[in-house]
Amino acid sequence: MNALATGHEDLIHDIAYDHYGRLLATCSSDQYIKLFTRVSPSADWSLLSSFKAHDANIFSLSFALPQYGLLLASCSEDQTVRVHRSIDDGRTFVKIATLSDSSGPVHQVAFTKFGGHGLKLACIGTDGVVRVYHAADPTDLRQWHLAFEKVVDKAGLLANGVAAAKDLQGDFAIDWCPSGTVRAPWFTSNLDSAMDDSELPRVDRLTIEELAVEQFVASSMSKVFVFRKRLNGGIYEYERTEELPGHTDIVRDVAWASNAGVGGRYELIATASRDGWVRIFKLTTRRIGEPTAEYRNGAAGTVSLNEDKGDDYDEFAYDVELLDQFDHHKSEVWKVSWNVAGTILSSSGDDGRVRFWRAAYTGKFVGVGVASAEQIPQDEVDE
Amino acid sequence: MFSFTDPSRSGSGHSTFSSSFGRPRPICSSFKEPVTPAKESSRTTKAFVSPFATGRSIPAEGMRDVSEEEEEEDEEEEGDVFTYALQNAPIATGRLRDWQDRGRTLKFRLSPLHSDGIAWIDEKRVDGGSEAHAAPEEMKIFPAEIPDSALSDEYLKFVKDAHELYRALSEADQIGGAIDPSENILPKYATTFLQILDVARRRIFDERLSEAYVVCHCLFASYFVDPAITRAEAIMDWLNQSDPRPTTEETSDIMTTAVPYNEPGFWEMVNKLALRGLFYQCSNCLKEADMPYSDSQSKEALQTATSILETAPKGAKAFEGHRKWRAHAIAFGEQCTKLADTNLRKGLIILANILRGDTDTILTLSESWQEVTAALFLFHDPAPSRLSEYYHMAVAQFPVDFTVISEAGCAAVIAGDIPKALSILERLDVCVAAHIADFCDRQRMLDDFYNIETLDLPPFRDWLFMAHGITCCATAGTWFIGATYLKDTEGTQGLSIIRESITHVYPDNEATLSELLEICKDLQFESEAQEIVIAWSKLQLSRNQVGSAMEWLDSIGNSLEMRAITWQLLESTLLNGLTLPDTILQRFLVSPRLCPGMIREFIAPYATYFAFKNHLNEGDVVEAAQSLASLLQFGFLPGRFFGALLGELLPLLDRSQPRTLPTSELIAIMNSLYQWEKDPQKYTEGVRFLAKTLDAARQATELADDDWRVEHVNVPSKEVIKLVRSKLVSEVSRAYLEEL
Repeated sequence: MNALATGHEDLIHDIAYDHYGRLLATCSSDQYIKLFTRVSPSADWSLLSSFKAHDANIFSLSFALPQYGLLLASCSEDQTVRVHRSIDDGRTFVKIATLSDSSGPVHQVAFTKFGGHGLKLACIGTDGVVRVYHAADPTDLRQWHLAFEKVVDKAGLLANGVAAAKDLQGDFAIDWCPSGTVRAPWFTSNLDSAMDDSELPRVDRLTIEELAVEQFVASSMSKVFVFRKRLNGGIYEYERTEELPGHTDIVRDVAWASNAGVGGRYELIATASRDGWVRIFKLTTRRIGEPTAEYRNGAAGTVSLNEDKGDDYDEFAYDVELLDQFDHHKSEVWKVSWNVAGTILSSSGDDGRVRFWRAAYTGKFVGVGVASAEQIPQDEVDE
Repeated sequence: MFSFTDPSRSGSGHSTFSSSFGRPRPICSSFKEPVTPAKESSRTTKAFVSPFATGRSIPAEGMRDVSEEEEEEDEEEEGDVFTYALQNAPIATGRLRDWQDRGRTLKFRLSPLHSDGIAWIDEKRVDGGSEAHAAPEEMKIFPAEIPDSALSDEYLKFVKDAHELYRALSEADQIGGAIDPSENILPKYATTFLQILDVARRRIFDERLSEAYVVCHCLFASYFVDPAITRAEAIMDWLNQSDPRPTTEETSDIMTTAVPYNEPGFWEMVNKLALRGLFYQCSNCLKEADMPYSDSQSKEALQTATSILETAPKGAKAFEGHRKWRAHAIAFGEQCTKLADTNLRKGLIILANILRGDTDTILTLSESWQEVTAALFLFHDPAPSRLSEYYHMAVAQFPVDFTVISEAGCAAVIAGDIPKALSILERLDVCVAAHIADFCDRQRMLDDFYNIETLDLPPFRDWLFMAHGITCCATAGTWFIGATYLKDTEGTQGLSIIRESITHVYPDNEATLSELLEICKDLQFESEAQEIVIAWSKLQLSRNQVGSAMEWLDSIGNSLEMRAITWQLLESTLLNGLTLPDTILQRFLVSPRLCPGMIREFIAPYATYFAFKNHLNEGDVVEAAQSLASLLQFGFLPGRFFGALLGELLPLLDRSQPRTLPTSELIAIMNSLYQWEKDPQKYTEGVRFLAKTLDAARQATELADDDWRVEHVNVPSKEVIKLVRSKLVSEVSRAYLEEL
């Protein structure tokens, strides 16, 4: 697989794969988005389309799930998020929505990754506000409404002076939880260590509605928080819940892994930081209070959710634990991303290296190799 | 490098899984050739040192500059991991600092399904304000593969062959069934697996696969022996294949001379052949050595030697016959002490000592721990319980070279430490390790190795299958193979991975789609099936296969999407004119009664419009008007289409032509118009869309002759509505007059 000249006229700031990994979008300071298609069997990329998408630097891209058609969101220094749609498999794109609530450049945009959560889009920018938009009518994707907005870390922003002093660098990132198998408290409450495997409730027997908890992770400067949709006074709304602690400098990227690789037993979130560390946090479900008895009734080894939900239905939280951390980059780390099962993590940064980490049998992560953007001397090749 | 438990411990044969797998997987000195980056780019490969192993504390520190000192550290650390350069790596050797000084950084994102990703160069300023002009290399994207995960076509053949065998074995064998040696089918399948692996390693020329073969052969020889031979014979056979001694050339060099017996290496060769259990070769060498002895004693001794060699007990009865045969060998040794010729006497006594399993002789003549172990097992006492004892005697004199990974693996096998052997195999090749673990699991060889430390971990066989399954799922063309393995694991983990990845598989045709849906059905993944079908219908729409999209949506009862398609069709037609529908859609539109019920219901508005256009095209204006009137009165017609459809009515309200609509219809349309105008949102949307249709007409290169917009292309949208109102009133008055 050879390097590919994209045709951009300035640096590339982000790339995004479509859900299948078949299409690749790139965005740049040249204000263009370019779309490439994977050519089988060589796995090389071929340019499919190119269009001017913003009036300033484009920072981030995200594809929506394919059941909503080919939708691509972009965000820019021009303070907008734009949604583009293609009805001809990526050959042309038409802008269908412009979301301009941000009061500063928008750094990152992300569509929901789990189908059961509907078509939602989150973004965050230099105003430190995370915003969630919702296209309530999937048959009319031109209509988006702002469902949520909140300053991620107001105290931190003020303390760092980012809001006031533009010359100081700040960074912000966001990522949705990709899994629909997060266990609600009534689920975990049914687990008993004495149960043998056949007695355990099986995730695959439960419906999305029974399992899915809508949540995302957002970073603002050096703070990282989980936001979760919770039932509050009869209304579902996002709330800032757990903090992922320990970052001593700006967090450049956050990535929430699929929990499939661990059978839904816990969640993994990776962060990339200016302090030179790649961190992997393990989030294990902890129940707050006892669920009412109605939630425990199940049939045929499954757990069913009683219609009559108690107040504590949504009351669960995570125990956050730093599973692993690596400083192998010995310099600022900018990007982290996971494979489909959440078993392989990549990190990249100022050392011009991509590092790959893999979950070992014990669940801890170990290095599996490095891809270098620096040429390797001929004598080492000969060795 | 490897650090195993000390020999005294490994001899117990029961290390725990956690002790075997607690350490990180080292990247070994020999990497599999199929790894594309390794093949296509420069690389260095050294053993990996884990941060856990070093026990390094992790200080909280801020951003640090990469000092020269740290760069040196980097180099040291870099040397410990498998490293390859990206294709067309953009940073020249040694110019990393310059690149960093330009304010650049490297970013990378993994593919959502495949085992690769894209790297690109970005600037460190997050506002995108580049200080340094971007060089052409910096505007490229750099594909990169996860090390050790890319599967070459040749390797894929092995994966597929192994999978076929696995399926056949799964059908033939029931895990946990009675293990009666006479009914045990595992040795037969193990032999086949070994053959498949052998073919693959020869075809691929892969060093790691070859090492895996050696370990695999050793394990099968030790635990999955063909009932036709003994375990001792099988282990000797493994040794002779993995390390043939003496070589065919060495034997030939001696035996093709005029008098082989006079060659200095003759007895060494004969004894080595005997030590390796190559009895017929050994006997033949003695017979064809052209020995110069004519005395009866010597002749008799030689005849006894060849006789003993040729009657060595083999196969199923070898164990029973061994004691008797060994007694012959002992007697033969005593007979040899009486021989007059020193050379012959010395040679045959050593031979006799080998055959009777004399420990000192075997240790003296052997060159490796493998040779000692195999020889003692074959000659001294082939009782399986003594293998471990022989191994320890052997390694006391010939320590295991743990830097040779296959040797370390075989040592673990012979020592009975199966978890360690599997751990080593996993480092060599996950596919091989997974299958071997499956064989071991079927033979209940892993039952004793699970303990409290592994309570929360999946069985190691399952973990290996999951690792292999994920790799297969991430490789084009083997997703379904991966899913088979994942499905065959205990607990929810494997199913979760299938559930997570199944929607990422691109259904490039209906056959693939059907296979995916079959899996969803089998595993009761209802929501995933829905997602797959909706995504497929979107793909079909983008290919203009609207009818097919409707059929698939109907199959999952998705009325919402079907309704959306109907309105999208109407919108597109109102804007761009009627286009030829695909075959299936044509069938739905022309013969609605033949449609499935739900499609008929939801396609009805567009079918009505389609009928209107067809009637118009055929000159049947009355029927056309009836169809349009029905549509305008449709209660669920989105308001945005109403204005444009009113425009379509204009040619049908021409007073110069016969009247097309009865009074009742005209009044009903007027009522709908009134209702529409009364709703500000519907009216605004409708007028806006009408303007859009007129705008589209102005920009169109050509319009159909019967398109109403030809006559009104420059009329403002609100004027169009007024015109329709006026014409409707005229038509009503006309009807009133005509009906008098």
